Amino acid sequence: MFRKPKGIGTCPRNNDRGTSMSRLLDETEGKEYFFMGNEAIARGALEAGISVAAAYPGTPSSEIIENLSRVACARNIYVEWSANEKVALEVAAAASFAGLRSLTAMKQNGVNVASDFLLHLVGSGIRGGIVLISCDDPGALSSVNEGEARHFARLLEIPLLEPGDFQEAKDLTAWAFELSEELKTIVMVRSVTRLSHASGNVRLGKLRDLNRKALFRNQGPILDPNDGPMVSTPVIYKHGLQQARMKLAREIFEESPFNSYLGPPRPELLIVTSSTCFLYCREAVTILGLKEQVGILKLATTWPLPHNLVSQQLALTEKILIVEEVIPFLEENIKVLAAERAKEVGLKTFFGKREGNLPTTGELNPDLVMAAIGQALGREYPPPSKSYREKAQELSLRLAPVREQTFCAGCPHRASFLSIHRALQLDGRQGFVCGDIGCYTMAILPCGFNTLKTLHSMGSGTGLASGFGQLGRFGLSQPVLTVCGDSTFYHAVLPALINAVHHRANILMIILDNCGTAMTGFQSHPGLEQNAMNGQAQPVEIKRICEAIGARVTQADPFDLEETGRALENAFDDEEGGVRVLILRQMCALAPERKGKKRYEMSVNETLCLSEACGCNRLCTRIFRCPGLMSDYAKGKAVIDEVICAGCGVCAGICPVGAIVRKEVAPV
Amino acid sequence: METSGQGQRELLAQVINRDLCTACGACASYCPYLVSYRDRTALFHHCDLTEGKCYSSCPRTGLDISALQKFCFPGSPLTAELGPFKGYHQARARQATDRMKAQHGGVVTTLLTLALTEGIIDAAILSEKREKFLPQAIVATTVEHIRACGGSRFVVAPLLAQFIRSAREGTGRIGMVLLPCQLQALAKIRLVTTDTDEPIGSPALSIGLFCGWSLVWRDFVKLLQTMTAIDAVTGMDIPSRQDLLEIKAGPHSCKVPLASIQSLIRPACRFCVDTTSEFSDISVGSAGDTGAGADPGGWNQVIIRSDRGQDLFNLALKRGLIETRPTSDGSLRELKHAARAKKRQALDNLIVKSGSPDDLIYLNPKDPLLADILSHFQ
Repeated sequence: MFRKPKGIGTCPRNNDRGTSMSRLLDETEGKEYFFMGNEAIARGALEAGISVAAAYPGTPSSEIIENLSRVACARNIYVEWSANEKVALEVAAAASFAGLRSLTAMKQNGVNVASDFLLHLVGSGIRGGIVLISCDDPGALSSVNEGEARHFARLLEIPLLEPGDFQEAKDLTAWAFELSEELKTIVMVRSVTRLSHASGNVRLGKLRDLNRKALFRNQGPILDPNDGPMVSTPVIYKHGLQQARMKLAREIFEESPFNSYLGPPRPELLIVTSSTCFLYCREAVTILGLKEQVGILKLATTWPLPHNLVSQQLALTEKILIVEEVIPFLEENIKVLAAERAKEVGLKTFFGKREGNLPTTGELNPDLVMAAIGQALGREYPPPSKSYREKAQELSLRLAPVREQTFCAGCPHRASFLSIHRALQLDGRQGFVCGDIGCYTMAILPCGFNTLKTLHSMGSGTGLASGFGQLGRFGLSQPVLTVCGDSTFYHAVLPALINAVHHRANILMIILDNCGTAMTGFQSHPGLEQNAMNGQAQPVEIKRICEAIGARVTQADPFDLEETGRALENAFDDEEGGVRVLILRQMCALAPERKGKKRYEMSVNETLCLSEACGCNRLCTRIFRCPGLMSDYAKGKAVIDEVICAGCGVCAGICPVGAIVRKEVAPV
Repeated sequence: METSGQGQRELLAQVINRDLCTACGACASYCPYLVSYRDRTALFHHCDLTEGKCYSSCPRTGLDISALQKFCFPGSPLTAELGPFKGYHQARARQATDRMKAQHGGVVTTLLTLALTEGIIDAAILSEKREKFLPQAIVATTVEHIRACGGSRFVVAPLLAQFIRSAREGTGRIGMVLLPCQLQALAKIRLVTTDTDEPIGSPALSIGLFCGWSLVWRDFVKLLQTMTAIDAVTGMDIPSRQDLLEIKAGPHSCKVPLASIQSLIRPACRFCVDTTSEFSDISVGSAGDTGAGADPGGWNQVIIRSDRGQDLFNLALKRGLIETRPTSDGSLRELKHAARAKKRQALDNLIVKSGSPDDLIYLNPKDPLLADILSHFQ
């Protein structure tokens, strides 16, 4: 593998003042830092004295573990990038079983992956405090879903905390560990993109070192929570225990200082909200000048709901607007509570999603909240004027260049998909590619020649292909392909691949190995020699795994269009059936090891290039679309943007007249 | 080249996605978005230009047969069934050994090697059998290479694309052995490039093959594989008056009923009106009235169409390389009948496809030669 570890046991000195590392380690209590939300969460975990942190990267959660990995040595914590979220939770749970505090972090759909173990962990209970951070992505800013993890809290019966700002992101995280140990259950802390990836002021608390020694007590009787085995049986008994814990959680939440009310004693309208929606609500009320009419109940403990606290507030008003993003979770829970306590709180008029005042998809913003407040109060909030909207639209069309999502300059995926697309077109049997999750997901778009035709969860491309690969008996004559990245391979592809091989599914699986978890920022994965703490790790080779599973494996360099084309042609012609694997391996152009290093110096032969006059219809800039290539309309030539060009050399192979020339400057 | 105001979008809609593409490779010679691959023309990428040579060079975007024949054979007598016509013979290579590998009489190989040795041509563009019966367009410059390319393929190769490439590279005088669809394509390109900066001239010699249809390579190989080891196949033939395809594998052979290969026929062949390669200098096919049994290699039917074809044929006779036998009026009548039947069938298929007798899709419904075909049988 490409990446070399820096060595075992080396502990970088904390001499980079002002950097994330020194800020995280600053012992000055009360000092304020401008922290990114995920940094605040990491600091919270450090203040709680965690020993273990394990996660699988996923936007917007990745920086939590990245920050912790930087201080792993200094704080003597074990940090790992696990193969997937379920394993990460299991790794964290082991630490908890041994009495240590541990944390796992994941994006919303990562909780789906971890949920099976999570269900059983709820049954078995825990020992040391353990916190699951779920960073949800309303609006799917960097996801292919708008899934929500909050519902798992209700479904699996665990406490749910939702920080409303950056300070709370730290404080609630730290408190979650206390709560976890008090309740003897895992606690979920839910962040969202706008909290995790935005920054705000955070006052530091005390960094704690619990100095706990790991010991897994297991010799006691099965029902002994402290010394017995950690199992979820007997189920009815353990389930009852959990429900008792939730009752206790409810009581604790009644007194929690993280729940707060802002507004007049008897508001005309009560907004109940949580998470960053609190900020939108506060802004909306301020803008509308309704501080005397509208109150905001901001809940940080959203499951189980503190019944008394909420119903006391409900009793003080007639109209209630519930503000939250995506599916009505808080809204429904509050309505159930209002029904249960109807005698006590009286008849209410609710506003929110079910009444259509707020959307059930996408992110909220102060404008949307203002409109909902207007509807609740029967006053029209004036939307931005038509002329303003028109002006804004006109300006953005004129001034903002069209920027379609695309692969970076020198991205191996562009070359891979060019070859895959062309091989499919040459084959002509309407073959298709099942997609998967990674940068290469963008191959659903023109930048990847619209090659991917299915897109679901991690590993699903291979699972779907495994299914399509059985449909020959029902007349499916299209070649079935799937792609997956190297990190995705370890995450969720292996069981699907084993399934496909075992059942002789007739598929071609293409592994786009770019030597790291590139999309989320080059976190290590099991194929590399380096772990999250820059220490030595045992690389697990994809090729050998595939061969051992029984697939027929070949490998090619995607930058070598001829070699890749041949490999694909051979794979298409292979009539033996079953699973063929083609590994297209080339390091990501942005990988720290490669960035800024050009293999080729590219240039355009201006005698040969005729641009618009050529008849090629600008194949290089219109079809291949590497950001390093530009069309100089004035000159009527293609040009290389030397600053952006990564020197991969691939475009030299696509110009029909050979006008793009490459000169080797740094042999690989 | 004069463009027609239409481009790739129309080419796809009117030809490629309409089962009319003959895979001649002409479009791919002018465009990086289209490519000749095996026996197909594949689309690499969509092109949004509204006009393209891909469209104007395609023989199936519009083919005025009468006009093309007048352009290619000025002054030659034209017949409705057989096209330009200067003479009809039954002939074969004099040497039995020359006939063995070739289909039937070995006349094609004999004429082509003669043209090369006489310096009439410098090279021959031929279809050569490669792995798994996949023919490829090659440039042969030796007698041995030409001989090695003898025999039937039943699968097309993009010979026209190779011709355009060779013409650009200046390969010299080129001889070609082509199928009717390829000759039509060649004729059209010659016409539409006449007054351009890249005129595609005539090859020094074009020998046409009689053709009923060709097969889809992939499906054909699949069929062959069910019968024999594909690499063991040494040749194949449709023996006259037998409705079967004979696959020869060394001393062994197996026979496939023609009915069972109907589904393997290239869809585009069903819309082809040419059996005898009407745009060649000289066309050669098997003589319908001779079996291969007692007379190894059989005889060829030969139609002379141009002076070049006549001269070469005469030279071969003079050198004693080929021999002829007397022909009966009956055999020519039979050939005309077969040619007419194929034209009629193709026209009917086009009318069914277009839904109107006034719309022959790529052919000109006002073409007098076609009107003649349509007027009969009715």
